[in-house]
Amino acid sequence: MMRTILLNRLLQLIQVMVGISLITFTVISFSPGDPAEITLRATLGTESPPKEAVARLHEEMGLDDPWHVRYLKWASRVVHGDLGYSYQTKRSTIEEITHSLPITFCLASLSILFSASIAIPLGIATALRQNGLVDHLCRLSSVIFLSSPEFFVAMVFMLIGGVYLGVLPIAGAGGIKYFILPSLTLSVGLIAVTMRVMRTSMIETLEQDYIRTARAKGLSRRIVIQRHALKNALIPVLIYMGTQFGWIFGGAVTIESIFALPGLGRLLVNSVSSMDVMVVQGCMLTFAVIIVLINLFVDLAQLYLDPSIRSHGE
Amino acid sequence: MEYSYFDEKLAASDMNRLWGVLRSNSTLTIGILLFILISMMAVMAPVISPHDPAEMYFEERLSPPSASFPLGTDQFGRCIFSRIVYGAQTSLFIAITSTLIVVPLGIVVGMYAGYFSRLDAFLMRLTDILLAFPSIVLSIAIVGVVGPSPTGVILSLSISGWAKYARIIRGSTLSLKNSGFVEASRALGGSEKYILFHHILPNSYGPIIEIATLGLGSKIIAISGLGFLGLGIQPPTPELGTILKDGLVFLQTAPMMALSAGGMIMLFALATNLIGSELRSITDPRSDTI
Repeated sequence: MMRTILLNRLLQLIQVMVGISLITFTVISFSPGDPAEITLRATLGTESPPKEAVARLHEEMGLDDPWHVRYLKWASRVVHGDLGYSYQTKRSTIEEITHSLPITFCLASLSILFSASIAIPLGIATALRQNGLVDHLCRLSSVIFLSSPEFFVAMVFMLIGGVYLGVLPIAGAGGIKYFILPSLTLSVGLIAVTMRVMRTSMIETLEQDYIRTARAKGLSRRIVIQRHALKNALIPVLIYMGTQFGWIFGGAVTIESIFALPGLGRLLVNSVSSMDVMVVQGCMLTFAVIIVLINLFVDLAQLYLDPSIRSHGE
Repeated sequence: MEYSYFDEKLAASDMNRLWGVLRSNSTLTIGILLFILISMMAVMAPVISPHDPAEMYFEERLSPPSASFPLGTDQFGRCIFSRIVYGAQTSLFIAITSTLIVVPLGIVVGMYAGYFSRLDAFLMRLTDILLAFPSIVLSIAIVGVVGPSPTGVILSLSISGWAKYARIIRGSTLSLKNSGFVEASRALGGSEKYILFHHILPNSYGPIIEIATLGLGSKIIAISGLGFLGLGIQPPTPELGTILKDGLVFLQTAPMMALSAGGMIMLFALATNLIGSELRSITDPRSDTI
């Protein structure tokens, strides 16, 4: 069981990496603008670099080859651990990515933490008192939060936390406090959905036979909820949050740009707007790896948390 | 049939029934009314906007809301209300265009994969890849490279967007292709094309409409997200995300700029979320409604 999952995910890793890099590569090679000229414009600092130099670099970068030849060349370099370099900073793409990855990771983990600690209690509360005041309020705020674009939420949080209260920094990177507003922003959408998932899961669990049995043998409602229902109801919620971890990385792209956090998302946006092609490719590949690894982790967690799946596979 | 309830309720030409659904479901009604209101504003932009969205009144820069400028003016003295209304028009146009590309593409790919199973494995791998990847990341990479024009935005939304529809349609095609009425039609000599478009497709309308509605909202958010990052439709064309980004700087002096642009995006997404989630609860009564 464990082996099939690992094999499947490894296969998916290759597929997603090839697929995403192929899409990015194709789009880049059909885009207007000569990468050689763009690179020289930035390195020499002139608007019109000498024609000879452009032609030489054009040759060096192998831009005259058809795109599939270029893709294969690029892919073979990637396999050998060479992702090229950024023409802007002169650093290797790998260096750029390893610098930014921890920041995005920290942001994503903190927002998962915030979402779990807010959404799970609210979900339980609404499940225990269905159609109560809290339930209605949560339902309303859930649909509103779900409809708010993260950059708008970011703006509201900046206003409240940074400007009116003046307690939290609204831009830049430094200590943990620079992460609070961005990760709160990122968790808003996740809270809205997780809350509903928790509610549904709790309601379904409370309708199970073993809950009735536990009540029938005289345990109090409180004990039954704490010891029996909660543990079982939490499993799908935790797994749901795991699958959303990848979505969080997608959301981080916008959030990092707004709060000027030098993470992977900001690196992508910056390199896209300055046509730093190697870095764009590298970032996309990193995103692909992260997403598939998260999926693998969720699979294994599910196997560990839910014994019925384990026995089913054997 | 799974979606028969929905078909009966909405596909019936009986207006009374439609009226009945709307009257008994206030959330759906609110969503639809909101949607119509915003769409009307966007379509009627030339009529209802008090000024030309590009016209600059330099002596009126960053003025608060007044009778002639309902939401005040921006840093160049342009009427914010007019810019928001025109911005909504731009967003709505792009969102609808890319939906019109993505839905038929997804339907064709999904039906093909589900019915003929020739390219099924390959096509489903492709959807796997696209669904596994956060679409905004792909959109940013595509639009940044293709260029920040309406075409670039439409293209970037379309490349990542069709996979969801293909998945759903493939699923319903698979479950329907061996069902009794399809077999009967085949026995009566119905061609594959006839079966696909007259039997299988109509039975998938429910989930298609539902996802397309929800998708319209998420596309509006994605379009303005790209604009916010400076990768969307470029000025001077009024665009909600760009207005919001420009307004951030003037949050304290002219808050209406950023707030009204953000509010417009939110109202639009709210409308589509309300409609989409109610349609889901009609098509799948067991799902959790909002």
